[in-house]
Amino acid sequence: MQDIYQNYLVELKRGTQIIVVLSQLHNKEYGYSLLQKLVDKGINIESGTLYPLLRRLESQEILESEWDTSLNRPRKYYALSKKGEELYTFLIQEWNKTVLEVKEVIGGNRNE
Amino acid sequence: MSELIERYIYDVVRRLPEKVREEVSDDLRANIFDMLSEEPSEQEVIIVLKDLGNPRRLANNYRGKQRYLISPEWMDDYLVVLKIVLIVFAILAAIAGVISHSLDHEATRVFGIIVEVFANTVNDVVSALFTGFGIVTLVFVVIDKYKKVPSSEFDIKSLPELPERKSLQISRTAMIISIIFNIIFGSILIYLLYYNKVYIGWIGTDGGYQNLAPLFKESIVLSFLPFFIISLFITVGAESYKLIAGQWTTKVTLFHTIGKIVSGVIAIIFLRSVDLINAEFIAKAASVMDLTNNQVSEGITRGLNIFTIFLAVIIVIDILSTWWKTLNIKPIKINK
Repeated sequence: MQDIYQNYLVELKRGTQIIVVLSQLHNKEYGYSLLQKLVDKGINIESGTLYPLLRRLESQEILESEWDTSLNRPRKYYALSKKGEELYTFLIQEWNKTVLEVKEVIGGNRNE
Repeated sequence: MSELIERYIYDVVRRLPEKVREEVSDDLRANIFDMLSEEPSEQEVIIVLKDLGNPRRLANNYRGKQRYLISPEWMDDYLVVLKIVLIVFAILAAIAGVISHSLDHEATRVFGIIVEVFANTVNDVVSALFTGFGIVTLVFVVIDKYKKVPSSEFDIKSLPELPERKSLQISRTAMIISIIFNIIFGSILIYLLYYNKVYIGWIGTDGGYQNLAPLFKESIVLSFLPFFIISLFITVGAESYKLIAGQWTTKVTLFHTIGKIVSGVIAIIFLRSVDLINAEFIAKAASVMDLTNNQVSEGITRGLNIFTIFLAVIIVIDILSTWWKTLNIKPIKINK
């Protein structure tokens, strides 16, 4: 039973992952710093999920990246592109709408 | 410990397309070093790599989309076709195997022949199953690649008919068992007849084995042999057709009827042919039983006559009851 709970929870949160990641990328971040920021805010995302996701968003031109080679270990920084900012605004609007709609549907019955 | 990291990275990127490997390597390396302190211990490296997870899964995440040999939309069709093709291939291989191996074998004793024919036929069936599996899979991989299933569109006319009543269903298991028995015993019978090895012997009062002459006359047996082979093919064919159809329809029952009539008629004509019983056999049996040749011959003929009538009645009852079942039950009408 616990497994079923977990499965639905993971499924529920999966959709919010993109919006959460995008929200933290108005200023440039590198992979690990972004992961730390999310973990600090209580968002549970695995490193093995986040890094490939960043790459994918970059290939879709939602993120822009640059290598910082001034350090002895190079670092790749990501930030929202113009397209990314637009997408983020759009998703936030849709998110707010969804929250209201879902509340409307479930709110009347019970508030557990 | 830097070697551990490189091995991990290699295990991830070797699963990815060649052109992205270097980029992903750089990304991943930078990320891993960010997660480590300046002078990391081996333990630290292990924790970080474990946190990134199984390289196979990470590579999958980098690839983005799931890959299938045959996508889930086609899986149902694939499995249905696969099942039918495997059954048909196995049956064909079994028939061809039994026939060819029973005509061409090295063993001389009946037991040895049966073992040899059986082993070779099993071998043929297994390789036929692999061939069938390969062909169906290959065809579906190609279909899957070039024909994507539209998610919501479908042809309303292509919806399947409702299944008929349950009483018209044909048991698959019964059909498979029937096919196997027909092939095994039919082939053994054909083999024995071909070498005219049908003997009736018994233990004499002195304990010695009475090796009698062959029961049937060789020339008659040999002239009937092609018909027996045809009869076996038709019977197995009819059973296979029933297996695939899964329920009694007019067509299936027609095929079933033809099979029964052809094999029945051949058997009856054979059993009633003049001089079927070997004269030498009659003479030997007569001497053993202290009867005249004529008495033995008449007794056998009477026995065969009764048996053929019995056989004919059974066949007629079977055919009539099958037709009654098929035609008398009307399909369910759906009222608007």
